[in-house]
Amino acid sequence: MALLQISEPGKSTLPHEHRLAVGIDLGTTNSLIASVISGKATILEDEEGSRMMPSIVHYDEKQIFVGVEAEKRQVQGPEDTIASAKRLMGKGLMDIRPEDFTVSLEDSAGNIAIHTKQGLKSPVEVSAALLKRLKELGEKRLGGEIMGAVITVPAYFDDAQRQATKDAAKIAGINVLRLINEPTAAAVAYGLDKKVEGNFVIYDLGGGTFDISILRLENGLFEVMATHGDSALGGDDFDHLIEQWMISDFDTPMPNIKTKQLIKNLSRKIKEGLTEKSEIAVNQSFDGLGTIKKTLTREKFASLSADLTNKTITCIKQALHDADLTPKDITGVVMVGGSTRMPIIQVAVEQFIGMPLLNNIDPDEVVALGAAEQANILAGNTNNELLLLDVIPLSLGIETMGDIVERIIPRNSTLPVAMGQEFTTYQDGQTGIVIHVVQGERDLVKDCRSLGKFTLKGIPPMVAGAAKIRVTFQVDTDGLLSVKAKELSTGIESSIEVKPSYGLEDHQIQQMLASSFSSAEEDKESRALAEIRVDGQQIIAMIESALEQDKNLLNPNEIDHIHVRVHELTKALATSDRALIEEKTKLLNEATAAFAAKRMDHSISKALTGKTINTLEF
Amino acid sequence: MTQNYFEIFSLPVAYTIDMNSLNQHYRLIQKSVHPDRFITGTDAEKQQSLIKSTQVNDAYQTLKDPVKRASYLIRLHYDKEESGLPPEFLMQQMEWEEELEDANEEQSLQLLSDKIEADKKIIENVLVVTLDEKKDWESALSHLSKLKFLTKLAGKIQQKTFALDVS
Repeated sequence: MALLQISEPGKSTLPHEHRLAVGIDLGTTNSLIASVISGKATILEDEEGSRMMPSIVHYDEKQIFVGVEAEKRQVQGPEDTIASAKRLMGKGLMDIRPEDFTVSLEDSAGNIAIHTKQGLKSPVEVSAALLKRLKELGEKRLGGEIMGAVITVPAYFDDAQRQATKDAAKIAGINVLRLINEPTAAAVAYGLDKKVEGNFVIYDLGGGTFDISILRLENGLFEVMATHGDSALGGDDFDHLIEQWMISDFDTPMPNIKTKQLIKNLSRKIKEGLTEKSEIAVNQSFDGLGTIKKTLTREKFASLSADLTNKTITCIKQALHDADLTPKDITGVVMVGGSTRMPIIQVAVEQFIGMPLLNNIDPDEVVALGAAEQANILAGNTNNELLLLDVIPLSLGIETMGDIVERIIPRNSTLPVAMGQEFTTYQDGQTGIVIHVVQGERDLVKDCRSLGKFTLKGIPPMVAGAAKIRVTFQVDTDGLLSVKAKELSTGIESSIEVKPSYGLEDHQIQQMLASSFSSAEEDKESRALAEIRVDGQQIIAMIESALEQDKNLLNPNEIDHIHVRVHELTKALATSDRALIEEKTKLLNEATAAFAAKRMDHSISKALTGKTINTLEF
Repeated sequence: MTQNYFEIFSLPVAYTIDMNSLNQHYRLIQKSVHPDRFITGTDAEKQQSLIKSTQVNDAYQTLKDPVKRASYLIRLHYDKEESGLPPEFLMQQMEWEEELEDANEEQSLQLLSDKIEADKKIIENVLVVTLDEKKDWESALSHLSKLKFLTKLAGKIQQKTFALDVS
């Protein structure tokens, strides 16, 4: 689009260079990494030619085994092998069923901790181990350092789960370009592949989560119109039903963990087998339990799982309603996730929507491929103008008197979104206020998920009710919340102390980051210095190029001011003083904020008028 | 941005709105300012893009929705935020609430829903006259209160329909 030639200062100001960017599907059962190679999204295979890595980590006394190596050790040492760690991300022990896991779990200050031979590990560290392995694989395949990654999360992930995913990437040393929703990624893969337009339903049934998204693709814009789902419903639940069916004739509890694991594995195999065959016979004896001799037919399985299937159809209905659409308005249904291979699911969805399903891209790979396409666009490697507009999946609210939730940001609001709210003090001289933020659709605080407590401090002492504190809740394009506060009568910016209900604190992440790299202190220091230097040089190059293009938007004083800051940063870059470079970089950014805003306004008016505006040259 | 929400999208300040232009302009603007366009930009650009993209979303959501649009338009011209409802409407409210309570199957819920939607349309048409022609903000506020009530009621009907579905 020639009209928007200067509308993307971030992209166009630097000379073109191909940046290595990847898409990562961090799945409950399997994880994949993909990248756009010669214009085509491609799954990056490992040394053995595998396209998927089992999302399993095994800890022994000295080593960490990841993927296939961990899977090999699963039956022998299930108590040291962590599978489905994604189901633990951003959760507390109360939120999950510990008996679904073969590892022993405990509570650690509200978070889940996993017992391993190397001590307690958080689910974030386990995910980081998976991500680190994928990153190594990617860099090997692509032959260079990865500049950034798009990582996918279930659309229905809440703030704590998204933050946990981002923390895991940080510990793995991955620069996250964007977290995007799995169904959205799948839609990108189909949309870019087929170049179709219209309304799409994305039905995503993974190992541990279920999402429905309704997207509209029009003129290179992907708009998520509604999402719905259940973050605790997945293929694992279908396995679980088969497990229960198998042992339903025994009164005794599971004799040991190994038998439990064997039955778990067998259940999954039966489920997968029913995709091809109409019935599966079991005749096997289990240590401490006895012999299971039974046959599961597709019909029986359908009736066992009817409740689960219906639950997913109701979710589609609700999402369609939120998007103000009916099944007739739908152009296509995209099936995502290995669990959508189950014929019972396909029949149910096809019947409800009334059209054949789109499943010509492998449902296991489609998310990673779409994420790779999006990473390639975000890194500026392509002229594709596709823009994704995603939504917040769950409402944000704050606790008010009587444990009632007051909604501040409704679900399905397009991101980024912000909402302001005014608070006041109820006691004379009160200098602090605690705001409890929750996420969910229910009216009572106890029925929603607690995200954290924000303590506003430094409110100037006044009589009760006189202070007016404006609190802004901002949700960014990753779906992550940040909170800012200002006392309006004095203009004093209050400081905010955040105590997340779940998740890691900054110092814990730093610690994990440090322990995941064995390099010496001075190595780290020189690496950090090198990075900040490159950043500084890039900013100068971008600003100079922006000035060359758009200096007519500024007056001579403003231009001078920027030049002074550029000069100061240039001088700082010649030193090895990291703090100084950081400070001057920050000052240059501040000095160019108004310029950046003007350039954006300029590009807006150009986009709207559709013609070049002649401006005076200075 | 010192522009009001209508100006952001280059639209006339009025309740009657060209939805096509709104949608089209919204998309064009987001394509220029969305944070995804500035992933490799400077921190200043990222910050500004987040602010602008957020404002544009807020403006769009406000103008797209008949209730929010009317409410915003009145606020631009008039100091009062609320207006009382006429007693006969309060009576009508109670009747509707009772009807909702008694409706326990899909058909009766659908019937009620159709009735409410038709009444919403009527009020929206009245708002066009009071806001765009008469510019009678006081009377518009009162009609808006009715529209707000009906919108809420429609939501409750929908929720009850879904609840029926699940059980």
